[in-house]
Amino acid sequence: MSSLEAKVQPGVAQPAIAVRRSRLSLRHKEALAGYIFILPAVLGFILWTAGPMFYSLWLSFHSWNLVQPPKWVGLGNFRQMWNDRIFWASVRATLTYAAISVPLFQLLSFSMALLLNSKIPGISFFRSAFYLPVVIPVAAASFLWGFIFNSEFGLLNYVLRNLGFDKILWFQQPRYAMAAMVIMTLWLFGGTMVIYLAALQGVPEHLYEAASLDGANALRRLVVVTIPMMSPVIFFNFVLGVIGSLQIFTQSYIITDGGPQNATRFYSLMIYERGFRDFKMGYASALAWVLFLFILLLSLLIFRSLGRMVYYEEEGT
Amino acid sequence: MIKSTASVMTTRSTRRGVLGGAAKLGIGVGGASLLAGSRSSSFALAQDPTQISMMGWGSPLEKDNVDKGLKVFEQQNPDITVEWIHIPDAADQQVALKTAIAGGTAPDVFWSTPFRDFVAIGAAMDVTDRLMADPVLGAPDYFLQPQESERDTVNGKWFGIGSCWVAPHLYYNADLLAEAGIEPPSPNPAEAWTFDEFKEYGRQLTFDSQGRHPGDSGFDANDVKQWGVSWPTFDIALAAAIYSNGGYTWGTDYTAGHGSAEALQAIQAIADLTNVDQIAPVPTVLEQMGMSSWQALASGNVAVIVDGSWALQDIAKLGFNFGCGVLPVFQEPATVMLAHSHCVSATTEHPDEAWKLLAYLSSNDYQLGLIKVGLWLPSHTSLLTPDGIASWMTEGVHPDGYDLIVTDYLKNYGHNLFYPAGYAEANDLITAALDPVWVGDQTAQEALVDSGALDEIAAHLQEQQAVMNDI
Repeated sequence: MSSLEAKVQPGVAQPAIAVRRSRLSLRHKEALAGYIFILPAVLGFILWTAGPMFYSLWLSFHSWNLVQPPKWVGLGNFRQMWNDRIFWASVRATLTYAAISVPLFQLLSFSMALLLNSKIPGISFFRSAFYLPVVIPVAAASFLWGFIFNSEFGLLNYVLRNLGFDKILWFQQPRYAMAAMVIMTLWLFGGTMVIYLAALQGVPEHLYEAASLDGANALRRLVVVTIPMMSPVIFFNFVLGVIGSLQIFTQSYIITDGGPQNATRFYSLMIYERGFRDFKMGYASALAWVLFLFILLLSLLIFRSLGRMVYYEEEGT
Repeated sequence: MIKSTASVMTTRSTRRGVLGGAAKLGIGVGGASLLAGSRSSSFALAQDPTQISMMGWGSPLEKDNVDKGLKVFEQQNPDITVEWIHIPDAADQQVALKTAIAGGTAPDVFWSTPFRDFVAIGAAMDVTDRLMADPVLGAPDYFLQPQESERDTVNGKWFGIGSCWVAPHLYYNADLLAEAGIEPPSPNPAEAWTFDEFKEYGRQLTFDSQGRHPGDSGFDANDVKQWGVSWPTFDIALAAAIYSNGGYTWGTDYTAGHGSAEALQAIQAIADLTNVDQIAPVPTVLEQMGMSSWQALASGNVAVIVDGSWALQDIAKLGFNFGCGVLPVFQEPATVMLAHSHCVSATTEHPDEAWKLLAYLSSNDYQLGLIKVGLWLPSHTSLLTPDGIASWMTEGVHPDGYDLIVTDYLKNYGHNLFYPAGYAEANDLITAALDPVWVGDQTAQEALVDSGALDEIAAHLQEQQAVMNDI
């Protein structure tokens, strides 16, 4: 018997509201309200994320051209991957891009955040200016970069030629095409820089003062104070950077179409082409699941290895 | 780099284009559902016209023309209204179309290049009987033949009707040629430049910042002020060179002809324009973003270019002194001709109305609008007669003698560019294999034959042919 019911006395008229309240406890009502509030998000997740994911898992064991019914092929799609030269080319391109762009991107973002953490006149202007590329849509920026990197009439080669260098075939030679892709990515460092900047401003000043009193110079203070205190944020940005780099798509879709020589046929572009251009939805689903599992395993690996090096202040105190 | 497609698209797309198209599709489907619901009452059935949908692409100019055309169609057929689902970019339209087909909401009429992919999955209706029974379209001399039949039939059955033709030819900057004292290339195939003449004129028209030409002592290919020629390497322009040298690209028997001696020789000749003769920029440069070949032509960076006939609409607006000629000849005058087809969906609930629209899209009335502005070339024989020519030749758009490019060059020397099912994937393989050729890292023989690339393409095409044989 609930406490509310215990207060009800026989023969005495009770307010109707008290009778209604007797059905659910406050705790249950709050829980119910909570579930109702999150229902749209949960339903959305089931309908638009989890549902399609499991459907694509089912599809990855089928051959499906979008129109005729899917045909069961077992592990056929995964076997096909093993023998698909373009698959391996896209894996190589994507891993190369990730291996080069992620460290450079983090280093640039972190360095710029350190510079922009200075208290000098006009610093707000520089912070805004460096952040500005992030608000430009990637598609629009890709057109801009297409002009800059045009080997014959582009701005960059014009500058290089005037400095006495030979023109570079940016989108004709594989190694330069990859370099161009990395440069385009580095241009977007502003978003990550802002996160680093916010974290830098959260490092307690007294730690720097203590280190200075102990005779630490600026470099030493960076190594023993700034980096350890920022390690959770560095780790966060690194993990997101790795995941994002493995999903690169837009620049190669718009500018290079995967060329030259498949050097920029990144994995996501290949998934798109197989699914929506070549009608091979089963194969594209299998490719997507391989990418998903690879990112999952890589993330776990990063958490298990680099995660141990992260300093969390709450644990340290 | 231009996405390889036989479309006449001139714009790149944004995601917004797809989303916009999807939204329109949704609206169209929703609208169709509402109409379907309203027809449940006999009163509504008597009042409402039948609504059909059509999905296509095109620049704002092309969209305007379609809008105008559809208004005329609706006036001629008051019992039919058309929902025009327009997506700016051809490649994005194909994605939206496939998605709509997968979702069971295929438009009643759709545009497609290459349409055999849609035939292969059973999405396009066989319209042979309707076409043969049509008193106008069914006449044996209505279309340019045999190119039209080659384009639209699979195993003798018609699954679509071509929208028009487009074909690559030469454009030249007349002022630059006059300055160099060079007679412009002719639009008459009988007076075409030979490929050797093309190269020699290209040499004379190319010079560096010190005024030195290729072959002169000290010529600096890194500091060229004006290039003589440009021959792009996307599938269409390359195919024209291969056909002129007696080869072919994609055979109706699902073979790739790129490995023949004639094809390899033509491919190598195009690459040598840059790497040996030094009279052309790296071919793919003008296909990537930053500057189109016709912008380079107008700004005096290149004197003579190969580009599709569709570029005429843009070139004519640039306000410089230009002209057109036929392509230089390797062994014989040749160009390739192509364009998207209009198809009726195999699942349409309104086949009669959809056929009426398809027939209208195949009429002179509809085709003329885009021919006049320089985007299309005619595909109907009636537009090649003196009266027909007069109906589309437009001052300020078509330069002197352009009619010969249609009446003689296209008609007598044009090869239908066959697009096999699975073309996009096959062309990707060719494109990737040829990339090192354009920068001089490999020969055409090494890149296509020795590397085994053609074997891989052959296997892919055989797989596609097996599907098509069952159609």
